Amino acid sequence: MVPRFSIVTPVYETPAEVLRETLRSVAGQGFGDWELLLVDDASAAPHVRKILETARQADPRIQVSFRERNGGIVAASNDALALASGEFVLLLDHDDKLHPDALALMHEALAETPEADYAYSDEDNIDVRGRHSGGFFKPDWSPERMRTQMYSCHLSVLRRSLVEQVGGFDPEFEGSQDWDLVLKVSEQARAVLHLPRVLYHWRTLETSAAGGGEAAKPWAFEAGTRALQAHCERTGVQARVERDEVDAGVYHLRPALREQPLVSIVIPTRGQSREVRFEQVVLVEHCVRSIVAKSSYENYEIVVVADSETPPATLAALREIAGERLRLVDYDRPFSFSAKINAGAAASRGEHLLLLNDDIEVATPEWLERMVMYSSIPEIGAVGGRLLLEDGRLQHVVVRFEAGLPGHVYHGFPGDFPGYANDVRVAQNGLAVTGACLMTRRELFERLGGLSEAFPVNYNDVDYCLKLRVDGRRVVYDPDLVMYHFESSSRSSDVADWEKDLLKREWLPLTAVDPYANPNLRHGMPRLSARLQWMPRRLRPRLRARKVNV
Amino acid sequence: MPDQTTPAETAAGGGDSPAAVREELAAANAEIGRLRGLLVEMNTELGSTRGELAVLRARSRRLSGILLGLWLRIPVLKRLPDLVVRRVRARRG
Repeated sequence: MVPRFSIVTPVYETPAEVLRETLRSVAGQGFGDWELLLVDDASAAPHVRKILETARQADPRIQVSFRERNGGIVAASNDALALASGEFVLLLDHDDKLHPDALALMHEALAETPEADYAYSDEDNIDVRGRHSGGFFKPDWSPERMRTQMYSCHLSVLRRSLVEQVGGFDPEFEGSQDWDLVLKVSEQARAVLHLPRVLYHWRTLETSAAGGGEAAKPWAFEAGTRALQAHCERTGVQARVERDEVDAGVYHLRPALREQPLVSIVIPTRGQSREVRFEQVVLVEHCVRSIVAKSSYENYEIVVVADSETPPATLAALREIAGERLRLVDYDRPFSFSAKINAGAAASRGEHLLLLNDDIEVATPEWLERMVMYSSIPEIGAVGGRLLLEDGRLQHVVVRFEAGLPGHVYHGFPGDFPGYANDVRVAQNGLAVTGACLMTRRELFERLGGLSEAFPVNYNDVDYCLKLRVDGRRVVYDPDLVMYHFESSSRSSDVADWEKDLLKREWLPLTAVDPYANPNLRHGMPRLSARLQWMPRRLRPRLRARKVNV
Repeated sequence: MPDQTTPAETAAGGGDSPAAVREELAAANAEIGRLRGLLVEMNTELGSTRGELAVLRARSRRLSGILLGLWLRIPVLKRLPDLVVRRVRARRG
C-alpha cells in the first residue's frame, strides 16, 4: 500500500530535545497515512543514533538510514528520497515542527484538487523554548515573486513522481536545493495549491537560516542566485539574477534582452500645467522630456493623444523634445481615458504598448527594458512598477482587492517601506496594476478589445487586467521599476458610485477574494487572529486551500 | 553671494554693462535653483515623515479594530461602563 505522504528529513547533529520534538510532531499527526524517512548524515553526537533507533522501533512507519560519511544536506535528502514510496514528498527539517493538523489539512486540500502537483502552506517561527513568532502569511501561487524570493518555503509538499522526474535535489545548489527543486517542479506542475494556514513551525536556532540569516549560511544565498539563474535560462526569462545588497533573501532580475522590440508609449493629454518640485511645468512636456532624457532603451515611439484644447505651444514643444519618435493623435470627442488610449494604440506600431499618464516622470533608466523583460513572457499580460508621489512616498505598488473593490496597498507610506515580508521590495503578481504606467503586448490588447469604454475615467485599467486574468495571463508588479506619479493632477481622484457598482457587477466573482492577499492579512498587516494559528484546528476557523492552475 | 544691487537699482542708474547684468541674472538664477533644490530636499524629508505618520495611523487603526473586536466579543466588556457608573453612583449614595 502506497502511503499518501513520504516525509523526508535529513538529520545532522540535532540537539536531542529538538530532534525528539520534531519526531513527536510527526507522530502526533491526526492523519496517519505517512512514512517518515530519516537519514542521519554521519552525526558525531551519539544521542542522534540512539533517538533515531528508538523512533524506528516505536513506529513501523519510520525508516532510518545512517550515512557512513557526511555528504551534506543534498546527499542526505536524496538518500531519503530514494527510500520514499509515497504519493507526495513532504519536506521537514530536523529541527522544525509540523502543526498537529498539517497532514490532515494537506490531505484534504490535495484530495479536493487531484491535479495539484505542488502545495505549500503558511509558516511561523519557534524558538528553542517553543515560543511562536513571526507568522509568514503568503499569497497564492505567485511565480514572479518566486523569482525574487523563496517565499513558499515551508511547508512544501511535492508530487513524488515529479520530484523524481526533475532529478531530486541538485548538489549544484547545496543550501538552496529546496528552492531549486520547487522551481523545477513548479515549471512542470499542472496546478499549485496554497493553504492559508500555519502548518509549519521553523525553528530559529543560531545555526539555521531562520535564526542566523545570511551569517549562518552565506553559501545558501549564493546558491540561490545560481538556482534562480538556471531557472531563468530554462524558462526563457531574459534576465540576469542579482542579490539584494541589504536583504539576503531578496533577489533582483536585471534585464538581459536579446533584442529590443518596438515599444509604443501611449500618453493621453490635454496639455495641463501644474507645479512640480516648486516649478510650474506642462505635465506632458515634463513627462516626455524625462522619457527622452532618461531611457536607455532605444527602440520606442511616443504616441501623444491630445485633446483639441491642448495648447499649440505644447504640441510644438513636444515635437522639439521627442523629434521623430513622436506621433500626435488628435482627439476631439468628450473625455474618456479608455477611448484616448484605444485611439493611441490604434495609431501606434509597437509590439508592446505602454499606457502612461502624462503626470508621470521616469526615474529608472532601464524602465523599458524591465517592462519588456516581463512583457515578453507569454504567460504575463501586464506589467507595472513602483510609483512614488512627488515627495517620495509610495503611490502605487500593486492593486489589492477588499470586498470586491480595488485599492492601492501602502498608499502614502515611506518610499523605502519594505512592506509585509518585503512585498514592496520583491516582484509579485496581483489581480491588477495601475494604468498610470502599464505595459501589455499589442496582440493581447487588440484581442481583448483594448480598454473598456464603459469605464471612461476610473477602473478601465483594473477591468483590462481582469480580462487578462480570465485569458489566463498574470499581472506583475516590478519593484525595481520606479517612477514618479504626480497623482491625479489631470483629473479628480474621486470614484463615482456607479463606477464601483459597475466594477462589482462585472467582476465580483473574481475579485471577492483576492488570491494574492492572504486572508490572515488586512491592509498588508497580520490580523490578531492570525497570530494564534499555531493552535489546534478545533479552536480555529477553517480556511480553504486555494488552487492556482499553472 | 552675488552683489546685492537689485535689477531695479541697476535700471535706476546703476550703470552696469549688459554683461554684468547677465552675470547677475545668472547668479540669481543659480541661487533660485539652489533654493529650489533645498525645498525639494525638505519636501522629501517631509514626505518621509508624512509616510511614517501614515504607517502609525494604519497601525493605530488596526489596534482600534482589534480593541473594538474584543469589546464586541467579550460580553463583560460591553457591560463595563454601565457597571462603573452604577458603582460610582452607589458610592455616592
